[in-house]
Amino acid sequence: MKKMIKYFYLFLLILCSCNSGKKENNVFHVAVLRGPSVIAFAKMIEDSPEIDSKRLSVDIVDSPEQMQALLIKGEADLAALPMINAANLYNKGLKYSLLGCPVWGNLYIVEKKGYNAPSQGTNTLHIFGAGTTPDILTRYYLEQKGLTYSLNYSFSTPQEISQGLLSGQIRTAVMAEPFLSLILRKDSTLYIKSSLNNPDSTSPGFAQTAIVYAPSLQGKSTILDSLLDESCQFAVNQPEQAIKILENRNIFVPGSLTPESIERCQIKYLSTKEAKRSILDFLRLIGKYEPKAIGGKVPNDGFMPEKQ
Amino acid sequence: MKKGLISFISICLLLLFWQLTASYMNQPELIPSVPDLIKALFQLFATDTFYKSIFATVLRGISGILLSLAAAILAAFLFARYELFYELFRPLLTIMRSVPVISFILLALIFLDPEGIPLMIAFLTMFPLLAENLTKGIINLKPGLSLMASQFRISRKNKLIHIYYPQLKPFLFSGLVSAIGFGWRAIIMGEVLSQCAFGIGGEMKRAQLFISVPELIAWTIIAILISFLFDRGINRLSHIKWNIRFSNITSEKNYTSVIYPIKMTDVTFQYTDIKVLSHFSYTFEPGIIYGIKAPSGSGKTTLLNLLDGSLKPTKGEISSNKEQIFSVVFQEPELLSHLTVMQNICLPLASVYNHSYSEQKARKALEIVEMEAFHDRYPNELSYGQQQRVALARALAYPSAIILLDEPFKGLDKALTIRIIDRMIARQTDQKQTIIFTSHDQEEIDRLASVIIRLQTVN
Repeated sequence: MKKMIKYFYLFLLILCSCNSGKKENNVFHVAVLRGPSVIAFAKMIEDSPEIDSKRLSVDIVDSPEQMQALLIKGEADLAALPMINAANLYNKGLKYSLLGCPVWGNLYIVEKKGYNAPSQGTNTLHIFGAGTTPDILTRYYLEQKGLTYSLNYSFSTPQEISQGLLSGQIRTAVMAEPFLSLILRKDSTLYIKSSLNNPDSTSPGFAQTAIVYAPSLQGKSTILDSLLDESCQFAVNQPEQAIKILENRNIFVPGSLTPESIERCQIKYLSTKEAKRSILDFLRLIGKYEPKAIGGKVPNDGFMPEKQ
Repeated sequence: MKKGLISFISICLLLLFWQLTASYMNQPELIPSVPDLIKALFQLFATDTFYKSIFATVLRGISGILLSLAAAILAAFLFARYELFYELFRPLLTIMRSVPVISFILLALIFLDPEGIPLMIAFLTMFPLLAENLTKGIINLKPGLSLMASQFRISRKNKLIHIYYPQLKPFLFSGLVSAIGFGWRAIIMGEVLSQCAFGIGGEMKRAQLFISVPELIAWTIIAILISFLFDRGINRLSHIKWNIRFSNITSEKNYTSVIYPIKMTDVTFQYTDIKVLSHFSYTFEPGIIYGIKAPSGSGKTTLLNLLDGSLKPTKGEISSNKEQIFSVVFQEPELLSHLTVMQNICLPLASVYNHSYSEQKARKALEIVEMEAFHDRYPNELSYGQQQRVALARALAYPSAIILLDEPFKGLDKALTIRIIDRMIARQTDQKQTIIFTSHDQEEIDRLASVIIRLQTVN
């Protein structure tokens, strides 16, 4: 019997140890969604700067779902995620506020060279992420330009669209960086037909990505703004160095990032104060097409507090 | 306490626990209260996509079941008939059952159109379960019942519905219940991952994408409800009682008017290593009652089986008019447990007469064996002797030229046996059928038989 109890406790111990991700108290946890946001964080990843003697420890998160779970559990002090998710989570009652926006658009329409649109019927445009930013920005772009495409959502991720384009299954599609650079290098018959990232000549782009902070970083926005600005400028001004950092840490596969791809991510850090109008315009645009994507409404002032 | 009430209390307790958790956490958008959940559920009903999605998933489910079932029936038939075929495919079925569903889905995502993935997943998860269950069912079919059906020339439809289906039913429905439970979850999982335009899984994925927890839970409840309805539907289906299909003929066909002799010439029969009948020659003349007496194992049953054609002689020849119809009492009663006494007797008659005339004939036969009071009982409510009397009544009611009875009075008391024999003799005087029966009992043989045949043990 004693032996059985011993084994039972051992079993419990193994079970518990599976999820023993201890939270260190002397660090601020930064969660960054894999994609263009990570490029913006390359310097911060390398330097691990400190705020009030607490190190900023950056973790890469693979999917928006994992990011949502982290924020719901309150395990991140600072996070970079799609703006629509940030607004949605705020509207769901999470106490995260918007700090700024580091990426202003990475979406492009690509097409095979020599492809002639069918004379009868409409051309098909493949899009990933139905109901999310790529889908809405595409629909907005087509509406603005008066273009008619039959939209196809059967390939649900940029990776699947990449495969479809390379195999010739797809002729025209919306692609996101950094996958776009990869397929452009692999298939010289592919070219960028249009950019979906320019709402008007005065705007820096669409505020696709958000950096949000938890109450634990309240009052530290100035230093955070400065660190993020520095990190973004580093990626833009020294793209080779940024790529090296990310490749050395196995965040990106060697060769998958190029200075051109970084350029096409439109990385530029703007704080909430600087970009409030653009952010609100973007959220209103999303709300117009798919209100559910931002939780039914544009977030109130608490999302973008005047005093940070 | 009634079962339903206990289930209701259980659901209420679950809801109460949920409500307490929601109140404690105080995050209504992420852990919605019970009223919010109910509201979300009703909001779903009001949307246009709700019905389209339900229809799409249910259609995928039903198509998956039908496709898997059709393929499983075909495969099970081949597996049961050809052992080599079964052995060849058994590892494949085991692999299909063991492969995680998600592997199928991930592979399918690479090669298939998203809309086709859930259906393929349904097939891959349901087919092995159904095929294995049905194969077991077919292998376990009772040969005695099949022989009975063939001797009494039961129609193809009645044979399928009342001989094969009841025997396969436990295997079929246990397979269906597990296949549907498993397949339903797999279909929804496939919809989630392939992100079909319409479907419960697609809606769940969208709700999750927009962090709409109440909607996600509402869709989950819908999925559970539909799964429950499927389960109830299968249960209902398994309880459907199928009627015997009767012919339209209302009058007596004169089956017994022309009875031909059966001539056995130098017949020898040998099971793999035992010879039971050796160089037997005899001619059974029409309208005579023959009693066959012999020690156990000396070939009485074999002789009857040779006469009705269910066995072929190893050597020698049996000549008879092929159109002659036999009715038989087998060594075991071979009654169908899902049919009443009356229905058991009427089933063979259904190919020949209409319903009321069949019942009339069955009632007369039951009177001969003194079982008329038991006409609405099921075989498992009867003793062995009573079952034997029902089997005798079935043989007597059937319009045949020749009646073959293998120890028809086994398990019956003496006085009753004598009364039945007397009625059979009286009936035979009128109908002139040939009756060939076996017995150990000298008194039975002396009383019923006009001619006695004694078989010797073959050494």
